[in-house]
Amino acid sequence: MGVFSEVILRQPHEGEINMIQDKLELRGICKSFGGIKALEDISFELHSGMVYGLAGENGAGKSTTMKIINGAYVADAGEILVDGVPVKVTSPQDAQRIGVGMVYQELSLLPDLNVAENIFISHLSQRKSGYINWKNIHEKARELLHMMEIDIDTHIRLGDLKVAQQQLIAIVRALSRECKVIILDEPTSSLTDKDSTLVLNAVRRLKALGYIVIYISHKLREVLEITDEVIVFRNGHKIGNYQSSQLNEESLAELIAGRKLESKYPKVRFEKGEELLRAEHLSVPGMLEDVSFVLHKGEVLGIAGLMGAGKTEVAKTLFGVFGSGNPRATGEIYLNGKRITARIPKDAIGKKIGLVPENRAVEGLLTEMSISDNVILASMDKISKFGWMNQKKIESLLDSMKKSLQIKCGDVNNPVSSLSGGNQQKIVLAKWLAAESEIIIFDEPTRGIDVGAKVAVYELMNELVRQGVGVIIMSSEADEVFHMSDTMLLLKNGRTAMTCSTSEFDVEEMQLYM
Amino acid sequence: MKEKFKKLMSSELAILMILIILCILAAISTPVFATSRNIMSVLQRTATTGIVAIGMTFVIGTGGIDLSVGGQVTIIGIVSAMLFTNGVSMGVILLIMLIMGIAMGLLNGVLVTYLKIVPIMVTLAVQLITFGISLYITEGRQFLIKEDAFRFFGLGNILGISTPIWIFAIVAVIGWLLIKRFTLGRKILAVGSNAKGAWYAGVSVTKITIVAYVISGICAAISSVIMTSKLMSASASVGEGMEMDAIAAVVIGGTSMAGGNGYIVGTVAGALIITVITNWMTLADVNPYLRDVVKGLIIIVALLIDNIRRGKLRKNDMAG
Repeated sequence: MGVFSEVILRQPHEGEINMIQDKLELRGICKSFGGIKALEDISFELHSGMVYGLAGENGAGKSTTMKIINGAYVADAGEILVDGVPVKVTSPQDAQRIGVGMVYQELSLLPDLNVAENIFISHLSQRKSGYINWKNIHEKARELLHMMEIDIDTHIRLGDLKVAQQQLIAIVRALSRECKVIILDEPTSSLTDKDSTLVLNAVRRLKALGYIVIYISHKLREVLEITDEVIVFRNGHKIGNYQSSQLNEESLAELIAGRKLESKYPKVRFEKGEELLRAEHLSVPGMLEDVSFVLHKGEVLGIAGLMGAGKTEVAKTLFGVFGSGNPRATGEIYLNGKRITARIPKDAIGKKIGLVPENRAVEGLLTEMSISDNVILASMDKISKFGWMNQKKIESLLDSMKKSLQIKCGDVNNPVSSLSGGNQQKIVLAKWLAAESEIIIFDEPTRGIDVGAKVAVYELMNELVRQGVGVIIMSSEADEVFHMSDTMLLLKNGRTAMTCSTSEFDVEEMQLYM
Repeated sequence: MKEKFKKLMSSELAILMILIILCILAAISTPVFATSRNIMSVLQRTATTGIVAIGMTFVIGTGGIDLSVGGQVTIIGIVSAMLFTNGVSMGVILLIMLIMGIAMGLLNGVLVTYLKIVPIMVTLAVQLITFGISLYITEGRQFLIKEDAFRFFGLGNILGISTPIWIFAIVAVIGWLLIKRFTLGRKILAVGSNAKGAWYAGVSVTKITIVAYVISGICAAISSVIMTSKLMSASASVGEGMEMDAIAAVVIGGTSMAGGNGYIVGTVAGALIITVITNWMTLADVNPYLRDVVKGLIIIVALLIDNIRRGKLRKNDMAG
């Protein structure tokens, strides 16, 4: 009960704001930010014991809707009804009172505290003095875990749990306050397919216990598997509610995109030329096992696979990240027929290999440094003599990059963090173009950038290939890899599941192997 | 006009304004302050901490810290005094002093990078070791230097301006160029800004970090030359507390303790601010026991002004 019961006590008229018993309804919700309509006339009903999926592209309105339900935003117009009675939800506290619980990603947990502490962190004590009854806390934590059929000792340090288990604790944390609606936002984004089942099972359990579950994920297959109903958003409008059982991944993807998918990928095919890069028997202990492939001039090599399948490890192996220390990669890499060794990224860059990494903000950019500094970072030798930087050369380099990549930015001395996701990605690419890279590896190149910018990134890939640059694209979005590559390698649990030419296969067939 | 002012205020030159305002206040309240002789003496006295602070800017730029500089200045001075006593020629001694600075910088750098010990503990340990050895050698005595030619570095002058000021100016210009115009500066700041990102862009993080500590060591050696020459003696207490003044100067100058930026002009201004305050209090005859209190307060005020100027106070850091 904890804080929740105190909240009830503070209410002068008990029953004025009731917790959701059976139904949460949104009616005609509108929300604008500075004249831009983020949500327009959104209405839907959520019923007890059901799992709802929210689907849509970035900026379609999913997260704004969630923030209105959990009280972070207040709607400009429209009503929220609890069991048919209109209620005001103007703060997260209000949302908590009607029983809305938000599950934050495992990142918001505290790795050095134990499981019970993590579950009850916001209301460890029920007394004014702040005295904590540990026995009681552990007992209540055990009860909650038992209710969810999760078998984890409450005394274990959270950081010692698997990421998937941590995600379960995050769910239990939300349950530790009386609630009826559980919102899960991308709960499996950092989990492997296998580990995701732990979370999916927990969702099934929540459903069985009569909770209303809102499930947001970009993994469409997972959404269709776990939800009863999918609510699709596009440009701030609700497109419709659909029975999950009547959708397949393709139809859902088309509902989300609002058009046939082919047009999303402006792939241009070129004539296959000589061999550029060949990898033989790449292995990284515990992550990658005996992966081989060849990249030819004029073609794009795609590497598909789920999160944790080994795509990033291939990228990092080629880029020299696993060249020394532990873990260490083995295998041979041939560039233009010559064997190369890259012990650190610096070596790989010297061999004209560039990596557009998955984790852009940490590995791809120095977000607090200037646009200019980020572009020149990997090609310092080219713009300097004896360490003295030639300002004219830097300026002309920046000008040509801005033109060829169509980067929209004001002052190049502004920090990179001032740019949009799409433009940031272009800065990463500009860094490798400045370094005259001959092989560019794109790891999840369109993550977190919007549709228009995605197409721009794909068009740049075409242009690179046209210029003879070797392009490798890796993505957990099977469609993206499938439509943008000529040859495709499918990884599963660190091994090659299959290799194929994309013209011989179709996406559905391919996904059977994932 | 307003735009221009805003831009100026958000640049590293803003700290110069604080320095100028402080000087005007000092000049109004104690007219002696504004005499050219006093100004020269302020500049001359800032040289030793100022040079160390310039080196410190590089280390802090990488996200590190160097608490050993005071100890370095001290032990380098003592060794030089011993060498003078033994009749070693001045050129050789200057070279040895420089090598000692480089060696101690290397030691700090290697411990921080290869052996992965946190900078604050590495340099604290080196500080203890250097001061400890200094005390052990000197047993609390003062070592006098009788070589007259050596007076030039601390007490001599060129074109009527004393040598320490020249050296300070040269070190500042070189430091500024290194940070602003040389790839080394970009790399140092890249390491401090996001070491992983820098490594992924081909920057040798280990090498660059070590270089930063070596630069700090070289600056400590230069500072030690001036200090020892000025006193024409060496003792185990000369460098005491120097690291704290240097760090204060760097931070007052706008460089973030978290690394990723480095402002030499700011550091020089920061070092001057500290000396100006001390000098002002001496002239105004403030109780010597209270001087550190005032210094501490002024440091807080300077940092507060800087935070207000950058709009840091209104920003919700947790929301990022």
